[in-house]
Amino acid sequence: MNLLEVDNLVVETKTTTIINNVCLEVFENEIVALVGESGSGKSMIARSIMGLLPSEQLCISSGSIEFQENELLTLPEQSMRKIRGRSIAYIPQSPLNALNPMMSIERQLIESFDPQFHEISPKERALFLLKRVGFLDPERIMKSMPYQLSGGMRQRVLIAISLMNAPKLLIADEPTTALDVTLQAEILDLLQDLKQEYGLGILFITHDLGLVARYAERGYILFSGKIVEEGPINDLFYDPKETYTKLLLSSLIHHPTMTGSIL
Amino acid sequence: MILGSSILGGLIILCLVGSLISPYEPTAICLVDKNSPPSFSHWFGTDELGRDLLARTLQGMRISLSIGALAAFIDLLLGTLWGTIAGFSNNKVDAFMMRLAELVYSLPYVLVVILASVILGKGVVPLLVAMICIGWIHMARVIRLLVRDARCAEYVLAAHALGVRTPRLFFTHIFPNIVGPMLVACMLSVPHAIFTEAFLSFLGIGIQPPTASLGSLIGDALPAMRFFPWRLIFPASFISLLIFSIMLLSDGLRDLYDPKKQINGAAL
Repeated sequence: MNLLEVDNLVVETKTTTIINNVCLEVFENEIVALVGESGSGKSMIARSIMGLLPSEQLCISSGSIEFQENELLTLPEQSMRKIRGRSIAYIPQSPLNALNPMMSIERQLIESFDPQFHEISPKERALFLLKRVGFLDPERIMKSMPYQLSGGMRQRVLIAISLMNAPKLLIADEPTTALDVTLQAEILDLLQDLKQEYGLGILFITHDLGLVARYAERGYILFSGKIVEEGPINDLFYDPKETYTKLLLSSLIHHPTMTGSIL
Repeated sequence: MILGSSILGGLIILCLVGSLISPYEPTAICLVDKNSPPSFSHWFGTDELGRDLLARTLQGMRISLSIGALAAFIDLLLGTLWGTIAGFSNNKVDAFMMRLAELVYSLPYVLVVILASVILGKGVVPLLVAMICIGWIHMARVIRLLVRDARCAEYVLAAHALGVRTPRLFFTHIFPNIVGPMLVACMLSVPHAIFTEAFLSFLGIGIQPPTASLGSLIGDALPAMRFFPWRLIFPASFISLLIFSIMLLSDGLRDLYDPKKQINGAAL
Protein backbone atom coordinates (compact mmCIF):
# COMPACT_ATOMS: atom_id res chain seq x y z
CA MET A 1 0.00 0.00 0.00
CA ASN A 2 1.09 3.51 -0.68
CA LEU A 3 2.22 4.87 2.68
CA LEU A 4 3.66 8.24 1.80
CA GLU A 5 3.23 10.24 -1.34
CA VAL A 6 5.00 13.53 -1.86
CA ASP A 7 3.74 15.34 -4.92
CA ASN A 8 5.37 18.31 -6.63
CA LEU A 9 6.78 19.67 -3.41
CA VAL A 10 8.32 23.13 -3.67
CA VAL A 11 10.14 24.71 -0.74
CA GLU A 12 11.43 28.23 -1.03
CA THR A 13 13.26 30.89 0.88
CA LYS A 14 12.68 34.53 0.06
CA THR A 15 15.31 34.43 -2.66
CA THR A 16 15.90 30.85 -3.77
CA THR A 17 14.12 27.58 -4.38
CA ILE A 18 15.45 24.86 -2.09
CA ILE A 19 13.25 21.97 -3.19
CA ASN A 20 11.97 22.04 -6.74
CA ASN A 21 8.99 19.87 -7.75
CA VAL A 22 9.97 16.80 -5.81
CA CYS A 23 7.75 13.72 -6.12
CA LEU A 24 8.42 10.60 -4.14
CA GLU A 25 6.60 7.58 -2.78
CA VAL A 26 7.24 5.15 0.03
CA PHE A 27 5.38 1.86 0.29
CA GLU A 28 4.92 -0.42 3.23
CA ASN A 29 7.69 -2.94 3.89
CA GLU A 30 10.19 -1.09 1.76
CA ILE A 31 13.46 0.78 2.17
CA VAL A 32 13.60 3.76 -0.14
CA ALA A 33 16.86 5.63 -0.47
CA LEU A 34 17.02 9.35 -1.01
CA VAL A 35 20.54 10.00 -2.25
CA GLY A 36 22.20 13.31 -2.83
CA GLU A 37 25.28 15.33 -2.09
CA SER A 38 25.37 17.60 0.92
CA GLY A 39 23.25 20.68 0.48
CA SER A 40 21.01 19.04 -2.10
CA GLY A 41 17.97 19.30 0.16
CA LYS A 42 17.68 15.79 1.56
CA SER A 43 17.10 16.85 5.14
CA MET A 44 14.75 19.61 4.06
CA ILE A 45 12.51 17.03 2.41
CA ALA A 46 12.54 15.00 5.62
CA ARG A 47 11.70 18.03 7.70
CA SER A 48 8.94 19.06 5.29
CA ILE A 49 7.32 15.66 5.76
CA MET A 50 7.57 16.02 9.54
CA GLY A 51 6.21 19.56 9.35
CA LEU A 52 9.33 20.83 11.09
CA LEU A 53 10.77 23.30 8.63
CA PRO A 54 12.29 26.35 10.29
CA SER A 55 9.28 28.51 9.44
CA GLU A 56 11.10 31.82 9.73
CA GLN A 57 13.26 31.22 6.69
CA LEU A 58 11.53 28.55 4.65
CA CYS A 59 8.05 27.94 3.40
CA ILE A 60 6.35 25.27 1.37
CA SER A 61 4.89 27.17 -1.54
CA SER A 62 3.14 24.36 -3.37
CA GLY A 63 2.73 20.61 -3.58
CA SER A 64 1.19 18.01 -1.36
CA ILE A 65 2.37 15.44 1.15
CA GLU A 66 -0.05 12.60 1.70
CA PHE A 67 0.42 10.08 4.44
CA GLN A 68 -2.02 7.14 4.42
CA GLU A 69 -4.34 9.19 2.23
CA ASN A 70 -4.29 12.18 4.62
CA GLU A 71 -2.93 15.50 3.46
CA LEU A 72 -0.28 16.59 5.97
CA LEU A 73 0.36 20.12 4.75
CA THR A 74 -3.08 21.42 5.64
CA LEU A 75 -3.32 19.51 8.90
CA PRO A 76 -3.50 21.72 12.01
CA GLU A 77 -0.48 21.63 14.31
CA GLN A 78 -2.48 19.80 16.97
CA SER A 79 -3.19 16.78 14.74
CA MET A 80 0.26 16.96 13.18
CA ARG A 81 1.76 16.55 16.65
CA LYS A 82 -0.22 13.35 17.09
CA ILE A 83 1.24 11.96 13.87
CA ARG A 84 4.83 12.82 14.76
CA GLY A 85 6.42 10.10 16.79
CA ARG A 86 3.28 7.95 16.53
CA SER A 87 2.68 7.16 12.86
CA ILE A 88 5.79 8.80 11.42
CA ALA A 89 9.01 8.56 13.37
CA TYR A 90 12.18 10.42 12.69
CA ILE A 91 15.73 9.29 13.39
CA PRO A 92 17.87 12.40 13.55
CA GLN A 93 21.15 12.97 11.84
CA SER A 94 23.78 12.99 14.52
CA PRO A 95 23.39 10.61 17.44
CA LEU A 96 25.90 12.60 19.47
CA ASN A 97 23.64 15.64 19.66
CA ALA A 98 20.20 14.18 19.32
CA LEU A 99 19.79 13.03 22.91
CA ASN A 100 19.09 15.55 25.64
CA PRO A 101 22.27 15.54 27.76
CA MET A 102 20.35 16.28 30.94
CA MET A 103 17.85 13.40 30.77
CA SER A 104 18.37 9.73 31.49
CA ILE A 105 17.82 7.28 28.65
CA GLU A 106 14.76 5.91 30.43
CA ARG A 107 13.03 9.28 30.61
CA GLN A 108 13.77 9.99 26.96
CA LEU A 109 12.44 6.63 25.87
CA ILE A 110 9.27 6.98 27.87
CA GLU A 111 8.65 10.60 27.01
CA SER A 112 7.13 9.89 23.61
CA PHE A 113 5.19 6.81 24.72
CA ASP A 114 1.49 6.95 24.04
CA PRO A 115 -0.30 4.40 26.25
CA GLN A 116 -3.32 4.08 23.99
CA PHE A 117 -1.33 2.08 21.47
CA HIS A 118 -0.09 -0.57 23.84
CA GLU A 119 -1.16 -3.01 26.45
CA ILE A 120 2.18 -3.08 28.22
CA SER A 121 3.70 -0.46 30.50
CA PRO A 122 6.08 2.13 29.01
CA LYS A 123 8.97 0.62 30.91
CA GLU A 124 8.36 -2.87 29.58
CA ARG A 125 8.08 -1.49 26.06
CA ALA A 126 11.33 0.44 26.50
CA LEU A 127 13.17 -2.60 27.84
CA PHE A 128 11.81 -4.74 25.01
CA LEU A 129 12.94 -2.28 22.36
CA LEU A 130 16.37 -1.77 23.90
CA LYS A 131 16.84 -5.52 23.78
CA ARG A 132 15.51 -5.53 20.23
CA VAL A 133 18.09 -2.99 19.04
CA GLY A 134 20.81 -5.21 20.43
CA PHE A 135 21.55 -4.18 23.99
CA LEU A 136 22.35 -7.12 26.21
CA ASP A 137 21.71 -5.28 29.48
CA PRO A 138 18.77 -2.94 28.83
CA GLU A 139 18.28 -2.23 32.55
CA ARG A 140 21.70 -0.64 32.83
CA ILE A 141 21.21 1.35 29.61
CA MET A 142 17.88 2.68 30.89
CA LYS A 143 19.61 4.18 33.90
CA SER A 144 22.48 5.71 31.92
CA MET A 145 22.91 9.29 30.87
CA PRO A 146 23.64 9.96 27.17
CA TYR A 147 27.30 10.91 27.75
CA GLN A 148 27.97 7.44 29.15
CA LEU A 149 27.11 5.77 25.85
CA SER A 150 29.17 5.61 22.68
CA GLY A 151 27.98 6.98 19.34
CA GLY A 152 26.74 3.62 18.09
CA MET A 153 24.91 2.93 21.35
CA ARG A 154 23.26 6.34 21.21
CA GLN A 155 22.17 5.72 17.63
CA ARG A 156 20.57 2.45 18.69
CA VAL A 157 18.87 4.24 21.58
CA LEU A 158 17.51 6.77 19.08
CA ILE A 159 16.16 3.96 16.92
CA ALA A 160 14.53 2.44 20.00
CA ILE A 161 12.99 5.81 20.85
CA SER A 162 11.64 6.19 17.33
CA LEU A 163 10.01 2.74 17.54
CA MET A 164 8.28 3.33 20.90
CA ASN A 165 4.84 3.83 19.36
CA ALA A 166 5.22 1.28 16.54
CA PRO A 167 5.26 3.80 13.67
CA LYS A 168 4.29 2.96 10.11
CA LEU A 169 6.90 5.16 8.48
CA LEU A 170 10.45 5.73 9.62
CA ILE A 171 12.41 8.67 8.26
CA ALA A 172 16.08 7.99 8.88
CA ASP A 173 18.04 11.16 8.18
CA GLU A 174 21.61 10.00 7.57
CA PRO A 175 21.41 7.63 10.52
CA THR A 176 24.90 6.27 10.00
CA THR A 177 26.92 9.27 8.91
CA ALA A 178 28.44 9.78 12.33
CA LEU A 179 29.29 6.13 12.83
CA ASP A 180 32.22 3.98 11.85
CA VAL A 181 31.93 1.38 9.11
CA THR A 182 31.27 -1.71 11.20
CA LEU A 183 28.50 0.06 13.08
CA GLN A 184 26.93 1.34 9.87
CA ALA A 185 26.32 -2.18 8.67
CA GLU A 186 25.05 -3.20 12.09
CA ILE A 187 22.54 -0.35 12.29
CA LEU A 188 21.29 -0.95 8.77
CA ASP A 189 20.96 -4.69 9.29
CA LEU A 190 18.86 -3.76 12.29
CA LEU A 191 16.68 -1.40 10.24
CA GLN A 192 16.23 -4.09 7.61
CA ASP A 193 15.18 -6.65 10.22
CA LEU A 194 12.74 -4.17 11.71
CA LYS A 195 11.30 -3.48 8.29
CA GLN A 196 10.59 -7.15 7.73
CA GLU A 197 9.29 -7.66 11.23
CA TYR A 198 6.84 -4.74 11.37
CA GLY A 199 6.28 -4.01 7.68
CA LEU A 200 7.79 -0.57 8.12
CA GLY A 201 8.25 1.83 5.29
CA ILE A 202 11.68 3.42 5.66
CA LEU A 203 12.82 6.58 3.92
CA PHE A 204 16.58 6.26 4.15
CA ILE A 205 18.35 9.55 3.55
CA THR A 206 22.04 9.21 2.81
CA HIS A 207 24.93 10.10 0.60
CA ASP A 208 26.57 6.71 0.99
CA LEU A 209 26.06 4.79 -2.23
CA GLY A 210 27.58 1.61 -0.84
CA LEU A 211 24.86 1.40 1.78
CA VAL A 212 22.18 2.23 -0.77
CA ALA A 213 23.33 -0.59 -3.01
CA ARG A 214 23.22 -3.05 -0.19
CA TYR A 215 20.02 -2.16 1.60
CA ALA A 216 17.59 -0.07 -0.41
CA GLU A 217 15.02 -1.42 -2.86
CA ARG A 218 14.28 1.79 -4.69
CA GLY A 219 16.15 5.02 -4.90
CA TYR A 220 15.76 8.69 -5.73
CA ILE A 221 18.77 10.72 -6.81
CA LEU A 222 18.50 14.31 -5.67
CA PHE A 223 20.57 17.10 -7.12
CA SER A 224 20.22 20.73 -5.97
CA GLY A 225 16.61 20.28 -4.93
CA LYS A 226 15.47 18.27 -7.95
CA ILE A 227 14.97 14.56 -8.39
CA VAL A 228 17.14 13.78 -11.38
CA GLU A 229 16.55 10.05 -11.54
CA GLU A 230 14.49 7.43 -9.79
CA GLY A 231 13.86 3.73 -9.97
CA PRO A 232 14.78 0.34 -8.57
CA ILE A 233 18.30 0.20 -7.21
CA ASN A 234 19.47 -2.31 -9.83
CA ASP A 235 18.48 0.00 -12.66
CA LEU A 236 20.04 3.02 -11.02
CA PHE A 237 23.35 1.28 -10.48
CA TYR A 238 23.66 -0.75 -13.68
CA ASP A 239 21.84 1.39 -16.16
CA PRO A 240 22.02 5.04 -15.07
CA LYS A 241 20.34 7.37 -17.54
CA GLU A 242 21.35 10.76 -16.25
CA THR A 243 24.82 12.24 -16.36
CA TYR A 244 24.64 13.20 -12.70
CA THR A 245 23.87 9.64 -11.63
CA LYS A 246 26.77 8.38 -13.70
CA LEU A 247 29.05 10.95 -12.12
CA LEU A 248 27.82 10.01 -8.69
CA LEU A 249 28.49 6.36 -9.34
CA SER A 250 31.93 7.04 -10.74
CA SER A 251 32.77 8.85 -7.51
CA LEU A 252 32.32 5.62 -5.57
CA ILE A 253 35.67 4.60 -4.19
CA HIS A 254 36.41 1.03 -5.18
CA HIS A 255 38.21 -0.82 -2.49
CA PRO A 256 40.80 -3.31 -3.76
CA THR A 257 38.98 -6.15 -2.01
CA MET A 258 35.66 -5.19 -3.59
CA THR A 259 36.03 -7.06 -6.86
CA GLY A 260 33.29 -7.30 -9.39
CA SER A 261 29.89 -5.86 -8.70
CA ILE A 262 29.07 -3.75 -5.74
CA LEU A 263 25.59 -5.18 -5.48
CA MET B 1 31.57 23.97 46.71
CA ILE B 2 31.42 22.82 50.34
CA LEU B 3 34.21 25.19 51.34
CA GLY B 4 32.57 28.04 49.46
CA SER B 5 29.14 27.51 50.90
CA SER B 6 30.47 27.07 54.44
CA ILE B 7 32.51 30.29 54.30
CA LEU B 8 29.52 32.13 52.84
CA GLY B 9 27.20 30.54 55.40
CA GLY B 10 29.58 31.57 58.20
CA LEU B 11 29.69 35.14 56.93
CA ILE B 12 25.91 35.31 56.65
CA ILE B 13 25.52 34.02 60.21
CA LEU B 14 28.09 36.57 61.36
CA CYS B 15 26.01 39.30 59.72
CA LEU B 16 22.80 38.08 61.32
CA VAL B 17 24.14 37.74 64.85
CA GLY B 18 26.38 40.78 64.45
CA SER B 19 24.88 42.70 67.35
CA LEU B 20 25.49 39.76 69.70
CA ILE B 21 29.21 39.62 68.98
CA SER B 22 29.92 43.29 69.16
CA PRO B 23 28.18 45.17 71.95
CA TYR B 24 28.62 48.54 70.20
CA GLU B 25 26.26 50.33 67.87
CA PRO B 26 27.86 50.73 64.42
CA THR B 27 27.19 54.46 64.57
CA ALA B 28 27.93 55.08 68.26
CA ILE B 29 30.62 57.76 68.49
CA CYS B 30 33.17 57.63 71.29
CA LEU B 31 35.85 60.25 70.72
CA VAL B 32 37.95 59.06 73.65
CA ASP B 33 38.65 55.77 71.90
CA LYS B 34 39.32 57.13 68.42
CA ASN B 35 41.73 55.28 66.14
CA SER B 36 42.55 52.69 68.78
CA PRO B 37 44.22 49.50 67.52
CA PRO B 38 42.57 46.10 67.86
CA SER B 39 42.14 45.15 71.50
CA PHE B 40 39.89 42.97 73.66
CA SER B 41 37.26 45.68 73.99
CA HIS B 42 37.37 46.59 70.27
CA TRP B 43 38.43 43.45 68.37
CA PHE B 44 38.98 45.24 65.05
CA GLY B 45 39.92 48.60 66.59
CA THR B 46 38.04 51.85 66.04
CA ASP B 47 37.89 54.57 63.40
CA GLU B 48 38.58 58.29 63.58
CA LEU B 49 35.33 58.96 65.44
CA GLY B 50 35.87 56.07 67.86
CA ARG B 51 33.20 53.88 66.26
CA ASP B 52 33.73 50.16 66.73
CA LEU B 53 35.13 48.73 63.52
CA LEU B 54 33.85 45.19 64.08
CA ALA B 55 30.29 46.46 64.35
CA ARG B 56 30.79 48.66 61.29
CA THR B 57 32.38 45.88 59.24
CA LEU B 58 29.50 43.55 60.03
CA GLN B 59 26.96 46.22 59.16
CA GLY B 60 28.84 46.95 55.94
CA MET B 61 28.88 43.29 55.05
CA ARG B 62 25.16 43.02 55.75
CA ILE B 63 24.51 45.87 53.35
CA SER B 64 26.94 44.57 50.73
CA LEU B 65 25.45 41.10 50.85
CA SER B 66 21.84 42.22 50.71
CA ILE B 67 22.51 44.64 47.87
CA GLY B 68 24.49 42.00 46.03
CA ALA B 69 21.88 39.29 46.44
CA LEU B 70 18.93 41.58 45.70
CA ALA B 71 20.55 43.13 42.64
CA ALA B 72 21.55 39.72 41.29
CA PHE B 73 18.08 38.33 41.89
CA ILE B 74 16.27 41.18 40.15
CA ASP B 75 18.86 41.05 37.35
CA LEU B 76 18.10 37.38 36.97
CA LEU B 77 14.35 37.93 36.84
CA LEU B 78 14.46 40.78 34.34
CA GLY B 79 17.26 39.22 32.33
CA THR B 80 15.52 35.85 32.11
CA LEU B 81 12.27 37.44 31.01
CA TRP B 82 13.88 39.65 28.38
CA GLY B 83 16.41 37.06 27.23
CA THR B 84 13.86 34.27 26.91
CA ILE B 85 11.42 36.40 24.95
CA ALA B 86 14.20 37.62 22.64
CA GLY B 87 15.60 34.13 22.27
CA PHE B 88 12.28 32.67 21.24
CA SER B 89 10.99 35.43 19.00
CA ASN B 90 11.82 35.82 15.34
CA ASN B 91 14.89 37.62 14.08
CA LYS B 92 13.35 41.07 13.79
CA VAL B 93 11.87 41.21 17.28
CA ASP B 94 15.04 39.68 18.66
CA ALA B 95 17.27 42.21 16.93
CA PHE B 96 15.08 45.09 18.11
CA MET B 97 15.07 43.89 21.73
CA MET B 98 18.79 43.30 21.85
CA ARG B 99 19.70 46.61 20.18
CA LEU B 100 17.46 48.36 22.69
CA ALA B 101 19.27 46.59 25.50
CA GLU B 102 22.66 47.45 24.06
CA LEU B 103 21.61 51.08 23.81
CA VAL B 104 20.98 51.13 27.55
CA TYR B 105 24.17 49.17 28.12
CA SER B 106 26.21 51.81 26.34
CA LEU B 107 25.33 54.51 28.90
CA PRO B 108 28.26 55.24 31.21
CA TYR B 109 27.71 53.51 34.50
CA VAL B 110 28.72 56.31 36.85
CA LEU B 111 26.49 58.71 34.94
CA VAL B 112 23.49 56.46 35.49
CA VAL B 113 24.26 56.22 39.20
CA ILE B 114 24.61 59.98 39.52
CA LEU B 115 21.38 60.54 37.58
CA ALA B 116 19.58 58.02 39.77
CA SER B 117 20.82 59.71 42.91
CA VAL B 118 19.77 63.12 41.56
CA ILE B 119 16.28 61.86 40.80
CA LEU B 120 15.71 59.48 43.69
CA GLY B 121 18.01 60.94 46.32
CA LYS B 122 20.96 59.17 47.89
CA GLY B 123 20.85 55.87 49.66
CA VAL B 124 20.40 52.18 49.14
CA VAL B 125 17.35 52.27 46.85
CA PRO B 126 18.68 54.63 44.15
CA LEU B 127 21.93 52.71 44.18
CA LEU B 128 20.05 49.47 43.66
CA VAL B 129 17.93 50.97 40.90
CA ALA B 130 21.00 52.26 39.10
CA MET B 131 22.78 48.93 39.39
CA ILE B 132 19.79 46.98 38.10
CA CYS B 133 19.27 49.44 35.22
CA ILE B 134 22.56 48.31 33.76
CA GLY B 135 23.06 44.91 35.33
CA TRP B 136 20.06 43.09 33.87
CA ILE B 137 21.36 43.53 30.35
CA HIS B 138 24.35 41.30 30.84
CA MET B 139 22.03 38.61 32.18
CA ALA B 140 19.57 39.06 29.31
CA ARG B 141 22.36 38.63 26.76
CA VAL B 142 23.66 35.48 28.41
CA ILE B 143 20.20 33.96 28.63
CA ARG B 144 19.20 34.92 25.10
CA LEU B 145 22.30 33.20 23.79
CA LEU B 146 21.63 30.09 25.86
CA VAL B 147 18.01 29.93 24.71
CA ARG B 148 18.97 30.42 21.05
CA ASP B 149 21.59 27.75 21.35
CA ALA B 150 19.32 25.22 23.02
CA ARG B 151 16.39 26.01 20.73
CA CYS B 152 18.38 25.00 17.66
CA ALA B 153 19.94 21.96 19.32
CA GLU B 154 19.34 18.70 17.56
CA TYR B 155 17.82 17.04 20.60
CA VAL B 156 15.12 19.71 20.65
CA LEU B 157 14.37 19.03 17.00
CA ALA B 158 14.37 15.31 17.75
CA ALA B 159 11.97 15.75 20.66
CA HIS B 160 9.76 17.95 18.49
CA ALA B 161 9.78 15.22 15.84
CA LEU B 162 8.59 12.80 18.50
CA GLY B 163 5.47 14.86 19.03
CA VAL B 164 6.43 16.49 22.33
CA ARG B 165 4.27 19.48 23.19
CA THR B 166 5.84 22.93 23.02
CA PRO B 167 5.54 23.84 26.74
CA ARG B 168 6.96 20.47 27.65
CA LEU B 169 9.70 20.98 25.10
CA PHE B 170 10.69 24.11 26.95
CA PHE B 171 10.50 22.79 30.47
CA THR B 172 12.10 19.38 30.02
CA HIS B 173 14.45 19.89 27.10
CA ILE B 174 15.49 23.50 26.90
CA PHE B 175 15.30 24.75 30.47
CA PRO B 176 17.36 22.01 32.20
CA ASN B 177 20.11 22.55 29.67
CA ILE B 178 20.40 26.27 30.29
CA VAL B 179 19.82 26.40 34.04
CA GLY B 180 23.42 25.50 34.90
CA PRO B 181 25.12 28.32 32.97
CA MET B 182 22.26 30.60 34.04
CA LEU B 183 22.93 29.97 37.73
CA VAL B 184 26.64 30.50 37.25
CA ALA B 185 25.99 33.81 35.49
CA CYS B 186 23.68 34.79 38.33
CA MET B 187 26.19 33.81 41.01
CA LEU B 188 28.91 35.75 39.22
CA SER B 189 26.73 38.83 39.14
CA VAL B 190 26.53 38.79 42.97
CA PRO B 191 30.24 39.59 43.46
CA HIS B 192 29.99 42.01 40.58
CA ALA B 193 27.17 43.83 42.36
CA ILE B 194 29.09 43.78 45.64
CA PHE B 195 32.16 45.18 43.94
CA THR B 196 30.16 47.87 42.21
CA GLU B 197 28.48 48.90 45.44
CA ALA B 198 31.88 48.99 47.19
CA PHE B 199 33.38 50.96 44.33
CA LEU B 200 30.59 53.53 44.28
CA SER B 201 30.62 53.87 48.07
CA PHE B 202 34.39 54.24 47.91
CA LEU B 203 33.87 57.15 45.51
CA GLY B 204 31.28 58.57 47.88
CA ILE B 205 28.25 58.30 45.56
CA GLY B 206 26.91 55.05 47.01
CA ILE B 207 25.93 54.34 50.58
CA GLN B 208 25.90 57.57 52.57
CA PRO B 209 27.40 58.10 56.05
CA PRO B 210 26.82 57.36 58.84
CA THR B 211 25.71 53.98 57.41
CA ALA B 212 28.75 51.86 56.68
CA SER B 213 29.38 49.63 53.72
CA LEU B 214 32.54 47.68 53.08
CA GLY B 215 33.42 50.05 50.26
CA SER B 216 32.90 53.23 52.25
CA LEU B 217 34.89 51.78 55.17
CA ILE B 218 37.81 51.15 52.85
CA GLY B 219 37.40 54.58 51.33
CA ASP B 220 37.45 56.21 54.78
CA ALA B 221 40.48 54.18 55.83
CA LEU B 222 42.58 55.00 52.80
CA PRO B 223 43.96 58.45 53.82
CA ALA B 224 45.15 57.07 57.17
CA MET B 225 46.35 53.74 55.83
CA ARG B 226 49.99 54.17 56.95
CA PHE B 227 49.07 54.99 60.55
CA PHE B 228 45.99 52.90 61.23
CA PRO B 229 46.29 49.91 58.86
CA TRP B 230 43.68 47.83 60.71
CA ARG B 231 40.98 50.16 59.47
CA LEU B 232 41.83 49.07 55.92
CA ILE B 233 42.82 45.45 56.49
CA PHE B 234 39.63 44.19 58.17
CA PRO B 235 36.99 45.44 55.69
CA ALA B 236 39.26 44.61 52.75
CA SER B 237 39.85 41.05 53.88
CA PHE B 238 36.14 40.55 54.54
CA ILE B 239 35.22 41.71 51.07
CA SER B 240 37.84 39.36 49.59
CA LEU B 241 36.58 36.45 51.67
CA LEU B 242 33.00 37.18 50.62
CA ILE B 243 33.81 37.29 46.92
CA PHE B 244 36.06 34.23 47.17
CA SER B 245 33.33 32.15 48.81
CA ILE B 246 30.74 33.15 46.21
CA MET B 247 33.14 32.27 43.40
CA LEU B 248 33.74 28.84 44.94
CA LEU B 249 30.01 28.34 45.31
CA SER B 250 29.31 29.23 41.68
CA ASP B 251 31.98 26.79 40.51
CA GLY B 252 30.34 24.12 42.62
CA LEU B 253 26.92 24.93 41.19
CA ARG B 254 28.24 24.59 37.68
CA ASP B 255 29.57 21.13 38.49
CA LEU B 256 26.26 20.20 40.07
CA TYR B 257 24.44 20.90 36.81
CA ASP B 258 26.97 19.09 34.66
CA PRO B 259 25.59 15.61 33.94
CA LYS B 260 29.12 14.25 33.63
CA LYS B 261 29.89 15.07 37.24
CA GLN B 262 26.86 13.29 38.60
CA ILE B 263 27.30 9.96 40.25
CA ASN B 264 25.23 6.96 39.07
CA GLY B 265 23.63 9.09 36.40
CA ALA B 266 20.97 10.31 38.80
CA ALA B 267 18.86 12.85 36.96
CA LEU B 268 18.37 16.23 38.50
